[in-house]
Amino acid sequence: MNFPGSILMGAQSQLLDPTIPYRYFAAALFFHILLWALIAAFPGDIASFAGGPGPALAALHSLTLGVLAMTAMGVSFQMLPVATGISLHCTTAPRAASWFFIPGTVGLVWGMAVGEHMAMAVGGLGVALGLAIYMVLVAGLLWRILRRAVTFEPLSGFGLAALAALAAALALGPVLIIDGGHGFLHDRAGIIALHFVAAGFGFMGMLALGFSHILVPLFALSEGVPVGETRTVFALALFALVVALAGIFLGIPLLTAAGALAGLLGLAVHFRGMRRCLATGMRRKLGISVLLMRAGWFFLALSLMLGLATALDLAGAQGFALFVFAALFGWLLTFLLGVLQRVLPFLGAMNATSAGATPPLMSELAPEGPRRAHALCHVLALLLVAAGIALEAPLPVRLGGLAGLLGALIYTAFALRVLWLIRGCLLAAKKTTDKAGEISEISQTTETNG
Amino acid sequence: MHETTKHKPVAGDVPVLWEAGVPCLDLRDIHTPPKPLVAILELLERNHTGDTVRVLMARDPVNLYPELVERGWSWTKEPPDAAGEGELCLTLTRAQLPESGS
Repeated sequence: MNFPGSILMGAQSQLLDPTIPYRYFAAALFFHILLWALIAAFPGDIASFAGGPGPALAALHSLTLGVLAMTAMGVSFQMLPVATGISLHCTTAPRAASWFFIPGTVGLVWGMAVGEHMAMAVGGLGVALGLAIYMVLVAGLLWRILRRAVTFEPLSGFGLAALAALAAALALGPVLIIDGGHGFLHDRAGIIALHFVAAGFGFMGMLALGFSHILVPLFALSEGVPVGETRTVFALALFALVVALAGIFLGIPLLTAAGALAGLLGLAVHFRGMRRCLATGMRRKLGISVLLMRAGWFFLALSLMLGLATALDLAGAQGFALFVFAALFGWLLTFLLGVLQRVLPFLGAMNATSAGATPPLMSELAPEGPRRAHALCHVLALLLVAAGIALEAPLPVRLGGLAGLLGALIYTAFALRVLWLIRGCLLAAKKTTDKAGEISEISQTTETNG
Repeated sequence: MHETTKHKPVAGDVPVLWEAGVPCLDLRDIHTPPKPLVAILELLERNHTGDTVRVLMARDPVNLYPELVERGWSWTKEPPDAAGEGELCLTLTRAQLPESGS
């Protein structure tokens, strides 16, 4: 899709050319549909997933790379400069990251679905290159943010910790792919757990906590969480992550359980701050999106409790699978969808006003009806798939997959409508500007001839 | 010349200044998001603010403009082509609400 306002938004501006963030969001919409379609089509694989290539692994990475990391890249490139006022110096690199990352994810997910190791290796290389560019760009941006204003110190801390965890997860990914073909690891389950905790709780988790401190006050129009409180959340989250990873690496379950407990404590402080932001903000009616965010926090607490029970061997045979599902689908996906319900229209409106166009009102741009329908399907899908995993029963998983698929299609229609309306605004603004330019040109010519 | 007034501060502690009968906010040293945004919107939503507000900013507040559209305010920038980082002065004027918003 061509955006007429692109020319006005360059590296010097906080707003990027809209095609940069929207390409990541568009790819995430595709993978969001794909992951629920895979779950609906292969419920038996999902219900009794025990690792290894197949539709379940492909669905999992459609979510983690295709939806979560993809959106994280688009949001980081666009919303960090908007929130902090510090621009990315370069617009070619965010484009280049997408050239590697998007096809790389397609290749990797395809390879995982059909058990093709070469496709996994080539796709994995694209993913690694895309994420490496992302890490360098965002680390540079966070460093400049940190130097500019001390109030951003905890936010930069969350971001830098997330990037460090991403590097660890990225290093372990190829090890698991190669081991899949050659089988040289002594403790594959341990490495999978390290990869999952580093990617899910480390990279995406830290990023979600950090962005919450910017985006939730922005949505609610409240003053934000005091720096001291944000520091406490950061310290507890970092401690929890490091201790849990050390516990898995060293094979000491009590250490992993201590990490989960510290995580629960950090979440309690975080939730208190977020609840205050939402309660004291100028905008109280945030609609269904805030309910999704709250549901995400609930599932984060649930996943930490399941992690604690799994570490202590109290969660039963399906404990680890439920822990992974609660963290990735329950917490991260639900929270992210809630955030995106507001970010997409808000970003579109910013693009329109910056190009001199008047955007539609938010109520017109993001009507509540489709967002509610999506939320309902999403929550239903979560409950059914979780029940299917717990009981190792394919039928609830299939029904959940279908509900999730319907929700993903509604969500995609909602997002495409936002893009279409904003594109219309920008085109109208461009026509007005061109017409004014033509009139000015004709006047100048007439004066010269006269 | 700015004069302080008895107006209650906005966003907790941001003073509302007064310049030739127009309320004015100096937000150039406030960087914590979204405090500048909250300060401006809180002032606009007060009953006695009037139809014009002036704001000094350290950067172009791209996230403010959609909120102004929602509330039926228009804006002009000085310098007019300000984008990204660099000080600017915004003059906000109360406009007619769009028909679809009423």
